[in-house]
Amino acid sequence: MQTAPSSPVGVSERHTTVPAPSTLQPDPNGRAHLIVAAPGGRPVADLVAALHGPVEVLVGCDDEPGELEAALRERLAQASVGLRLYVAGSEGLVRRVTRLALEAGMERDEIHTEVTASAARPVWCTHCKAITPDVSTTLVRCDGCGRTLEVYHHFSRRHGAYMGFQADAELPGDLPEAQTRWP
Amino acid sequence: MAVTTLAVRVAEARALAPDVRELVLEPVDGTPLPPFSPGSHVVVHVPGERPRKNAYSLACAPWSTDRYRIAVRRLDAGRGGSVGVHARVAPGDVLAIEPPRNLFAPVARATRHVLVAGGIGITPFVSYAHQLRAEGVAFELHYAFREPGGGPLLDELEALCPDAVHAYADPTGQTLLAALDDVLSRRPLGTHLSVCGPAPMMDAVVALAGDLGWPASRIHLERFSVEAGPTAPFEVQLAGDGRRLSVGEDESLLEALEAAGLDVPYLCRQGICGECRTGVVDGTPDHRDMFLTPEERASDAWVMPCVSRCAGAGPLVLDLP
Amino acid sequence: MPATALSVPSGNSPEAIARFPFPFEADTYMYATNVEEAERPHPNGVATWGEHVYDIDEHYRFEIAERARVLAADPARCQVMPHMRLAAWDVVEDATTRLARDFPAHFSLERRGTERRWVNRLLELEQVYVVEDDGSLPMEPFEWITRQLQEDVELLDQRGDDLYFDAGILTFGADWSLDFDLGMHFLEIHGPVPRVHEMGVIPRAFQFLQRLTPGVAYRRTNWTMTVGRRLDTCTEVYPEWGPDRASLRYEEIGERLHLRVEVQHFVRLPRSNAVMFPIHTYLASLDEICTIPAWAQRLERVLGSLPQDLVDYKGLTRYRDMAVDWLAERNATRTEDPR
Repeated sequence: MQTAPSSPVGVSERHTTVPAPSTLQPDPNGRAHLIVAAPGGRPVADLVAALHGPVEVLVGCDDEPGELEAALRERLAQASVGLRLYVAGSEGLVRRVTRLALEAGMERDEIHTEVTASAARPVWCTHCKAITPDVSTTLVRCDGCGRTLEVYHHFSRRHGAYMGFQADAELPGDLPEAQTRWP
Repeated sequence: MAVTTLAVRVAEARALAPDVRELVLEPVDGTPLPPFSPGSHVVVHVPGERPRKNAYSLACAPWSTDRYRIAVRRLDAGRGGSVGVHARVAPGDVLAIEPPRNLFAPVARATRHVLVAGGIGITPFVSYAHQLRAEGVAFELHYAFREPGGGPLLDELEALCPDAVHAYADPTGQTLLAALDDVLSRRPLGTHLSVCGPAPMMDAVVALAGDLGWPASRIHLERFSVEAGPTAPFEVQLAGDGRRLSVGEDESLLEALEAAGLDVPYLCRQGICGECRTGVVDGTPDHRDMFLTPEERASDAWVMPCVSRCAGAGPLVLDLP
Repeated sequence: MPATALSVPSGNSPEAIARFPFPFEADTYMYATNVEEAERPHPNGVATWGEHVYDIDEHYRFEIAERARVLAADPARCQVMPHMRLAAWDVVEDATTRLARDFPAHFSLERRGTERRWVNRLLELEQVYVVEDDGSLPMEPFEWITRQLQEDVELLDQRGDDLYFDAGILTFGADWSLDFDLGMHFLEIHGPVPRVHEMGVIPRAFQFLQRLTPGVAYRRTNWTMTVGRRLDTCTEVYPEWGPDRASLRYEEIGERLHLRVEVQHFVRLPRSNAVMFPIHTYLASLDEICTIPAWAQRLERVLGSLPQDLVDYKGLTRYRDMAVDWLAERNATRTEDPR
């Protein structure tokens, strides 16, 4: 997307790719429910109580994110249409899990999310394609190529990440002040 | 704008059932017919005292370029198009048809398809079956029909894809629903459901799917007809030049406008797709479509001329030149 | 293979300038859905453009080579999701058929049932293949045909009431990334564009695309500016072309600053029901624009009156004022010295 060296241009709320904030509500149309929650995060007992049909809860472990993803893939491979997925946790967890669920054949109206913890988000570098996780500032050093990236207001569900591109491409070294926007 | 038509000759015509007639159509000049996407239909210009334009699914392989096949169920309570196909079209006749268009294509991303057909609703799934089989995509076709001996096109579908076809002689519709209760409870993520048939059957299948947790994004429908209801003549006025038209009891508002030389855009001609939406300046429409929202209907600012009429004798004043 | 762009070709011949798709019909510019029927000549005040969906012009060999260079460096510029296979073959059939009909001196297509024999004389390429048989082509079909086109081509999968960007090639894009946007639906891709939503342009464009049926192609134009005669201005290589924006000097404007126009076509594909957007990018330097006085004057007025948010969105911020001054000076000189 074409950008200004100054602040981002106005964006339509209805059509922006940036995910709107949402809170988890029990989905009355689901026949079975799978909840993915962050450890020590939002309590899900009230959600579980409000759901009709079988409910399973998977709790992520910060030290072993791979295990959660493997468990989730296995559940989704066995699941039937009628399942609803609820994800509560950091922005990073929510976007990663959503991406995985879409790849496994879930539809967007079967997935409900709530960012309950850090809003720090994954940023995809347009130049080297690496994803730098847990970015809370408007500028970030890319984990892949070392460029300073501007975190742009454009989000991809497929990558589960926000777009980043070199912030000082036009005048190398000319960088605005980085702000903490997504703590 | 005027739609281009293709000239086709009726190569064959035969009865597939007492009320279902098959027509095989070949290009008049030998030019290949356009290939199409599964689920496509063609609008056939049915000749007669009052010409009709009716949409029929192409019930043949989507790569057919030498001939098209349609299967038409006779609706005596309709406006005469299907009766015309049965009574007034014979082999050797030349018909005008519009090029294929599609309001019911299969979801390309689906990894499995559950296809449910009721009666003549089988026709769009013939092209689906050819395509999905050729691509090796998993699918199952559940076909319910009233006759104990089998429905139209069943034999050839069973020959084409024997493992995929499940046939139900089902006068009440309950056998199909009982089977689907099981099927729709046990399908993997990535499966999509497509349904075509009479309105009550479709409504029951959609309700069942909803109860079993299928979200709207996985359910795809092609509705073949909207309940017709009684028709009475009424007056129309065009807001542009003030011209008055009469709409007879056996023609639609759209047909009357076309007969008067107006080019109203259309696609399905069945009250479903929204293409013919026309502004209403005065008068009260009698809404019979499935496109307008309740608010739009209540506002009396719009009408779908392909199926809707006027409440009373009119004049219904339309925002047309 | 050099990592950076090949040395630039010579600019446009006078014939090419005459056929340039000058995009401004008025002295001010605002977004509009501005769609019209395709495959008919569009007068630009000098000659016409727009007779064909796929345009083969004097830059063909250069742009084909440039596309190949970009793809070698970054294969992710061309992606086809598996379910778009049928749409890919629709593009092969559509492009080969149109090119053989529109440019018979350069291309020929023989058909026998599902067999095809394709000849591209410009690239000295001959290929026999079977439609919808992937194995009969030397590479993935969409890539095979688009490597022979100057157009970027984007494919939208019709899924119920929505259109998803699930395949495409983008080697000559104007500051966006195919790899990032792949998989988004139509309304989302245009999310970051200012104003288009309030004005209803995007929803109307979307309704228009929903109603497309196979058979009639439509088109519209889009425009921006590029410093340097550079086709690949995708976001991936922003570090390569970004500095040019900041380094442009007044005396270089005529030669280095280019008006960049996209002619976009919209075609509903028959076998897949997908919507295809071929996009042909044309560049003309301001010196070349100035060979047509009416264009130079109009461009000055359009640039001068462009609202700041559009200036910023189109990436013109650093040099808009300078460009307007430069055009004003050239246009004033012309007025003082009529010939």
